[in-house]
Amino acid sequence: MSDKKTKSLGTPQTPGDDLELPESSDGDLEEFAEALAVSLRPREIDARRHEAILARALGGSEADAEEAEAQPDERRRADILRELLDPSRRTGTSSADASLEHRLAGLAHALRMAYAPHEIDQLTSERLLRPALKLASQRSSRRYVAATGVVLAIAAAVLLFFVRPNTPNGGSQQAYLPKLPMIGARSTMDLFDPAEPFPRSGGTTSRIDKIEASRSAELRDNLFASWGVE
Amino acid sequence: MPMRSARFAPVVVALAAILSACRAESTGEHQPPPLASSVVNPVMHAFLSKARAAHHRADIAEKDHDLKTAIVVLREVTEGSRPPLTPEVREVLADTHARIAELRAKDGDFDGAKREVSLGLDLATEPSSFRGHLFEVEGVIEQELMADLDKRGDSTGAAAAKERAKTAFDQAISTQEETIYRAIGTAGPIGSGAPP
Repeated sequence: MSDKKTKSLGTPQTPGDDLELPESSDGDLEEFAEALAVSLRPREIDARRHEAILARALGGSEADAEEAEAQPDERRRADILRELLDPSRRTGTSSADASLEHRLAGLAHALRMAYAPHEIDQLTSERLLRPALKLASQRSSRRYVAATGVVLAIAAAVLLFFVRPNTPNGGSQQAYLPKLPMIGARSTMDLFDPAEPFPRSGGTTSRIDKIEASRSAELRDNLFASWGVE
Repeated sequence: MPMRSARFAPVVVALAAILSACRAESTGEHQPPPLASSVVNPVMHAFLSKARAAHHRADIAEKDHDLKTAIVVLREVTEGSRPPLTPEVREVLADTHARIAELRAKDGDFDGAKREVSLGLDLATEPSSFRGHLFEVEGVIEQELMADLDKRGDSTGAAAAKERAKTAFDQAISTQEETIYRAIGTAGPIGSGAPP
C-alpha cells in the first residue's frame, strides 16, 4: 500500500494545508473505509483470511510456508520423546544421553495428568507415596517382621519357662486360686430330714454313703471351677 | 540374618515348652489342684471315700459276728490320717465313733464304748442329728450297762447307769429338738416355747 498514489479525499482544502492523501481508486476507498469500520467495531475474522494475514506477517504467503526438513538428530530425539510419552510404542531407540527428553517427557506427562488425570495403579501409587511418607520399604518391613517374631518367640519362651499353667497337669500353687465360686465345706445336715432323727442303731453306712456321694459331685464342680470351667 | 532368626523362632518356643514341661515334671507339680480346705476338695473327698469303704467293710464283719474286726476297720477312720476338721469331716468322724461305741458295748466293753461317745461329742459340738445320735447311743450303752450290772447283782451301779441313761436320752431329745428348730424354725410342740 505504500507505493500507491495519494490524492485528496474530496474534503475542502484550506489554504496552506499541504496534507497529501494517497491517491486511490473506489475499491481502495472501500477497503480503507472497511478497515476504519473494523477498527471501530471489530468483528469475527474469517479463519482463512486470518491464516493469510499471519503468513504475510511472518514473511511469506500461506502457500510457501513449508517447514524445513528435520535433521537426523532432531528425528532421533523426537523418537525418544515419543517413546517416553507412550511406552507402548517402544522401538528401542532411546539412549542414555536422552536426559533432556526425559525431562521434557516428565513435564509433558505432568501436564497431561494435570489436564486429564486418570486412575493410578497401586504400584505406582506406592512408589510415589513411599518417599513422601517415608514408609519402610518391603525389605525393611520383612526385617521388622522377622525381628518382631524373634522378640515374641523369646518372650513366649520366657513366659513358658517361668509362668506355670493353672491346669491340674503342672499347675502352680498360685495358679490354683479359684476363679469361680466354689462349694464350701459345711454340715451334712441338709442331706437328712431334721424332723426324722437317725435310727437308734444302725444306718451309719447308708448315711456315709449319702454324704460321700454328695461331696463327690460337689468336688467335681469345684475342680471344674478351679480350672475356670463353668 | 533376621529372616534366619525368624525361622528359629518356632524352635525357641518349642524348646521353651519342653523345658517348662520338664521343669514341671521334675518339681512334682503334676498334683491335683490343692483347693482351699474351706471348700469341698480332693483330700476331704478321699477321707469320705475311706470312711465309706470302712463302714461297708465293717458291715461284712458285723454280719459275720466279727465285732473286733469291725472295730479295727472303723478305727482306721477315727485314728488314721484325717483332713482338716471341716463340718462334714467332724460329722463323719462323730458317726463313726458312735458306731464303734455300739460295737464295743455289744462286745461288753462299756467303758471303751463310753469313751468313744465322749470322743464323738468332742467332734460334733453343734446341735445336729449326729450329736443327738451320740447321746442316744450313750443312753443305749448305759441301758445295756444297767442291765449287765443288774444281772451281776450290782443294784447301786445299775441305778447309777439308769440315771446316766435317762440323762443321755434327755440330752438326745433336747439336741434333736434344737436341730429341728434350727432347720425349720419350729419351736417344738405347742406351748413348749423356744428350744432350751
